[in-house]
Amino acid sequence: MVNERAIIKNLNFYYGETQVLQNISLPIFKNKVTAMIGPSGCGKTTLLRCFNRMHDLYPGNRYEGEIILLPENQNILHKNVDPIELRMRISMVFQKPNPFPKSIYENVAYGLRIRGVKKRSFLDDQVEEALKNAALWDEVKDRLSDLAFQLSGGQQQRLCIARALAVDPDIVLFDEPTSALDPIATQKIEELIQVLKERYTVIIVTHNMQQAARVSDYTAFFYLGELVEFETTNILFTNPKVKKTEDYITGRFG
Amino acid sequence: MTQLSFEKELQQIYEELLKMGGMVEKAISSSIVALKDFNTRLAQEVIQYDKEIDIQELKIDDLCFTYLALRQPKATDLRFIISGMKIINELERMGDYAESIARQAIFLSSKKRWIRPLVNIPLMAEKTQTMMKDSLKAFLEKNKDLAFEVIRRDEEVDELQSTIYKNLLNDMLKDQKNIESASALLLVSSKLERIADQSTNICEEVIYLVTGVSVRHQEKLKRDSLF
Repeated sequence: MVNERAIIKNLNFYYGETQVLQNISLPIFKNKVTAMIGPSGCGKTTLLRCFNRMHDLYPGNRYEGEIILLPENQNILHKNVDPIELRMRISMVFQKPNPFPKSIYENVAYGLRIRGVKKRSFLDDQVEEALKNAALWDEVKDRLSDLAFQLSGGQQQRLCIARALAVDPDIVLFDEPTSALDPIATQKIEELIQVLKERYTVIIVTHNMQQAARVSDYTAFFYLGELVEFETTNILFTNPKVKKTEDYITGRFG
Repeated sequence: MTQLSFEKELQQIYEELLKMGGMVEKAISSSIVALKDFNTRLAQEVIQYDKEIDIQELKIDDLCFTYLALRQPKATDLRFIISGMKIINELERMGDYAESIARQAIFLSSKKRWIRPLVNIPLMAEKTQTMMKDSLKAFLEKNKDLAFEVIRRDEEVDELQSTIYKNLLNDMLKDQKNIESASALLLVSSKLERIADQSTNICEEVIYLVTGVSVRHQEKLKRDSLF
């Protein structure tokens, strides 16, 4: 049984005068991994960033349409929604590991401190759980006060995942989370995503089609700001209905 | 636009498949000619030729396997490789049947005469060979309508097979001396029937290749061409 965790409804997005998303409508299923694929400039990252209102950080950006969280039935694009609060419910992991220049512990605790949590024992518990969920705990439990930069790239990325998980989000967004990592670190993150979906709803943007095929349950293919095809990953990669999708996934594009 | 390197590799697999199809087609038609004309030399050639068909199968198998491992094909390309690997299996078996018919041809030529005029077996051979050719044509043209049609033709071959069986059984009951020749001819007709079946298997792969839907073991889908 699949339930929708969110629904994108007739979403248009503009960078100033330029429209980069064209009337996107798409369901996001709960406890599933949805992959967004497409060539550079297709709008997949722009769409991902709508989910936690990253675009609000720059002037001149404009949303039309809705992204409705369910079952709350709340349009997260509505101006009354506080983006800071929203980013705790829908957290994001970026392309390059970007830990704060702080200790491993403080990186993970950061979101909770912003939320006003002060109680040390509660913070300790949450940090430990997030690091465990990010499959990093065993590697860092004896060095939590070390600077995050002393970790390897793959560990830093898992630290960023722990940081995203510590605020107990509903949806976790991944923006090409392994493009800066080696194959072994990549495999760890991919395995982790499989575990994470049991607790969270995951959306991942990736340039690596093989990765989308490996980790996702549903795949959406975008081209020039439009949603071309949305299907279960199994069908999209074996028998897509739209020729443009077929051309893209078989490498005959352009 | 120039062909991309992976498209060249796919093209090569495609051409090798067609080559193998042609080889098997030749083996089957030669085995039937050898049978009709008591031509033992041609029958020997068919038996020898089967080794080349086997080598061709291994070659295509290797090309497909390498392509899967190195290119990780998707969608139509994936279905092409998967159905190609199954089709060469069918073709190789058809080659074996041609060899088996050739062996019966050698045996029957030692008898130097027919127990009854050879009518139904050449007719069945013709229908079977046409089915086989059309199954390859359907593959070549990615033509699912032709594939469905070939599948439906299998019934005619089955009917001929049961007529041949009844006639030969009668011949054997009539005169014990007929038993050797009649059972050789029975073997031939059952190989032809298998070749027709295998042509329908190729057609099922063609339908899968074109539509992405597998119609194997679904008689209703095949009969009604429901899509």
